[in-house]
Amino acid sequence: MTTIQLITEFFAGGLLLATFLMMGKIRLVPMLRYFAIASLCLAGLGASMSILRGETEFFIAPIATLLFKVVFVPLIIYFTAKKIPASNQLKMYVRPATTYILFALVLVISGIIVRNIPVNFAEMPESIMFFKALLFISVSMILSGILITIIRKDLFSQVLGLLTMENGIAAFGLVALRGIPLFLEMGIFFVIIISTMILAALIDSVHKVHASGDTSILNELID
Amino acid sequence: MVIIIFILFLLTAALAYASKDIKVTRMIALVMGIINSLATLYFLSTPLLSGQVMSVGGLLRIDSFSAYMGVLITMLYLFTVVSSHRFIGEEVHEKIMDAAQTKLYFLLLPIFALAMLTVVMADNLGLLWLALEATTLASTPLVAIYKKDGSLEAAWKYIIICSLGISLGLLGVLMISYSGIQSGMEPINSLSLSMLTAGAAKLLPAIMQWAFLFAFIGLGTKVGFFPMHTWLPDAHGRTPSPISAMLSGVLLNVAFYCLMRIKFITDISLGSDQWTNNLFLIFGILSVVASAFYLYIQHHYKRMLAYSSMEHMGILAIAVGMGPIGIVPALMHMYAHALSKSLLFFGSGEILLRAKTGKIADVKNMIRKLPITGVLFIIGMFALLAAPPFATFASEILIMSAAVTKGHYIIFMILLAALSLVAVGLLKHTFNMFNIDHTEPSHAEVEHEKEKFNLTHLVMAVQICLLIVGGLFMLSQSGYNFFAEIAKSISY
Repeated sequence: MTTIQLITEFFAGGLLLATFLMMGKIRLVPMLRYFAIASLCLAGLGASMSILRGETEFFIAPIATLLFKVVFVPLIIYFTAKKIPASNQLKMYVRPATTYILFALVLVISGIIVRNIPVNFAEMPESIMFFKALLFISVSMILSGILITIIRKDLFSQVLGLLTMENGIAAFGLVALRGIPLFLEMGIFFVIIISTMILAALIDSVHKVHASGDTSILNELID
Repeated sequence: MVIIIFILFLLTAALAYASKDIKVTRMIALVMGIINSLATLYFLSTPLLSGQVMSVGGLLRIDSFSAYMGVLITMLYLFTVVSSHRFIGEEVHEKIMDAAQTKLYFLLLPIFALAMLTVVMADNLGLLWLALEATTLASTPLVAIYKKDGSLEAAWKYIIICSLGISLGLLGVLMISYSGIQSGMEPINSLSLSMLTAGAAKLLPAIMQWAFLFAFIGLGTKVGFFPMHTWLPDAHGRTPSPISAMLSGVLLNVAFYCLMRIKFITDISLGSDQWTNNLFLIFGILSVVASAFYLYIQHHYKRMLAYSSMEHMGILAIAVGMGPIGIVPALMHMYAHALSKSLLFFGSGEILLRAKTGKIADVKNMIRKLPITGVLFIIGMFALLAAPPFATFASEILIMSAAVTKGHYIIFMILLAALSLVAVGLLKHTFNMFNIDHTEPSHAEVEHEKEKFNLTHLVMAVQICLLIVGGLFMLSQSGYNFFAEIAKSISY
């Protein structure tokens, strides 16, 4: 195994580990930190895979990931939260320990999905095991993102769940497509930044009206 | 020409936002909106009427189906611009909206319409996805514009649920691209709708099944299929009424358009349309049945109309699920629903301005207080309920006939029962709002401010005419042939 392969595996493992650690956090700053680490690992994974495949033109996407997901997005969320005193303590429907059990369940489901997705691994220049592992990680992250938005009942966590899911889709693009086409990748970054800004503005407005970031207070519109 | 249209829309947004006076902002939005709409309708008339396909830089491709959708979007945009001039003017007068909110409204309205136009003109799945996401981003601040608890809740649910859905849709798009690459396409071509359609027979069926599943669940969230519909009644119910008209009238159709495009590529890849048809039928029936019950128990008239949109998306899904025989009536139904639903939302705006409440129980005697709105609203309600000679009658009767022709007797019965419940629910609520309440003081005793014919009434009256003319045209042979030509372009 070459050094670059080891580095790639390190980033892939880091991506999943950071997401796992993010799941049970009940304070915003550690959760944001782990999201930034996961995004950093995604950027690293993209860069190392570009080197591994000899396609260095794909460096633009990792640099953009670094800039947008590691720096801008966490900063926008952080500065929105700073204006709101009650925002640091995050709310969940389940206990943090249960979150980790649910995460384990997500891993099992991801394993089953990956076994059934008919990806042609023989076409890949790297080892089959390595790509199966990467695909497993990307599916796990997509499902983890959905899980976060479901089990968390605060506005900030739901935003981070959405962004985690997007990280999983970006990882899937790296695995299956050898990177998403540049115009689409840049468009996605633009969408992420605009979405984060709109969500931050909405969080601010919700806090002004309700003095809380708990999503369970948003229950006026029911049939 | 496409570039000029794009520039016109963006210029409208910029000029409306840059203006310092609210009256000037509204006037710019109105005048520029009319110019934009007429230019766009003129541009789209060529591919729609001649069947000529226009291609721009490999990213845009306008065939008659795209042009048809574009015409629907532009018509609704034109009606919304005219109605907004009146509605927002009244809200500013009543101090419900301030200058900043008004400018934001007229900034985002053309951007929202442009994003929808881009979706239907896109020949690249990546661009299509980005434009569809842009529709969510442009409309979320419009949903939240009142900054009250209900509108904020609606906007939050809207952006979170739709973004989750559209992200799943992106996964579907990437899987289609993967399938294209695996079948020997260049990566750059693997997102091109025309290339994918041309090479669909070589796409990997197993991957395409997964891709369609993700796209269906993801984009189905934006369409408002049950059970992914939870954002829909909230967002459509809490938005300024002209925006509700755009959301219900065309945005749902635009998301449905995306599903139809992906469906036909998947069908060619699988060698049969049975699998995708079943998905459409299942979600269609679920949506119609669930919305019928929700509609019956409604207490808010705008939510009632929103659930009716969910029901109509279900009808569309059932039509498409019938196979080729259902495509023509589905296209007709898009026109019929877009006009009738937006008409009712414009009317609901007038009711809201007068009654100051969205609750059905608190709205009484509307035929006495708002005679013009009342008459137009009731006619619109009959149009929505598929009474002859409106366009909805033509489309729904053809959908029902298709169900019988295809031997889907159980679906026919379920549809008939659900639509009957919908009709009872809608008529009950409508007559509760407009019926003369004799317990209230009579007209002679209480001097009501006399309702004057306004711009929104003009829009509603034009829409009624278009629904009648459209209905008669659809029932003629030349009308059927016109829609059949559009249907042909869906599979290129």
